[in-house]
Amino acid sequence: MGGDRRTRWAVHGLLLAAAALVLLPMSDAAERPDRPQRPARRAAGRNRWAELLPNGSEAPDFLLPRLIVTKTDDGRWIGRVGAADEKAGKDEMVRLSSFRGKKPVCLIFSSYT
Amino acid sequence: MRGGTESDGSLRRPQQISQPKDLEERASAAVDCLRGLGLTLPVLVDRMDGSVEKAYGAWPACTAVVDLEGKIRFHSRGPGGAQPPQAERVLREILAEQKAEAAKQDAGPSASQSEKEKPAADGPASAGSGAPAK
Repeated sequence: MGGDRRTRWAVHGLLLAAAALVLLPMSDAAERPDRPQRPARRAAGRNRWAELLPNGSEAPDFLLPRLIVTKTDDGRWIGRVGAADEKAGKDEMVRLSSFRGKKPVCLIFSSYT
Repeated sequence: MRGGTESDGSLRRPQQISQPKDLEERASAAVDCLRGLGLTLPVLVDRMDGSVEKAYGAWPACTAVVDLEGKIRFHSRGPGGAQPPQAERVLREILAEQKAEAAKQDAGPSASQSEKEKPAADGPASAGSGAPAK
């Protein structure tokens, strides 16, 4: 008798848990209308390389070191990163905004692989 | 892997290259790239966190042209992000605009002088109208 009751409660509990698993995501989607639904999400995936910096937007400024390349006595080419130290010369660091009003700048990012 | 060409133009045999762990290793890989591809353009080295690359959404390839006002004039990214012909066209446009602006400024003082002289003859109503003096 008591065993039957326990089994029934266990079955009811399992059914309830299963129902919760099915219903909770649906209620979540209903509560978040801003969340893109599947077709929209798929479209966003396709449009992964969408415009990030539209024409006319401010170019993100940066201060980066130059690559200083020198040839060693034994004929090898070695590179070092420009120093941020003022004594090393400001030429070794480049700030994008320093070209403002002087020259246009073309930035090329690529992978050498 | 990395490839490129030798100084005599022959194809360089691909070599194994590992992900740089610090700026020195990154600089070394950049030198290999410059030498391997025979590039002469100035190279900047991004921080190890790739903050500039991220700011421009530049992975895996990106070309961006920034005009004289520090504004984006061309931005191409993604797998086909390397767009040298388009970037060159935009650069030429900007340089032509710069030249035209400089010419306008050179002509400015004399033009404005004639504009100043004109109101004396025609009256203040025509000032700055740009109409040719009769």
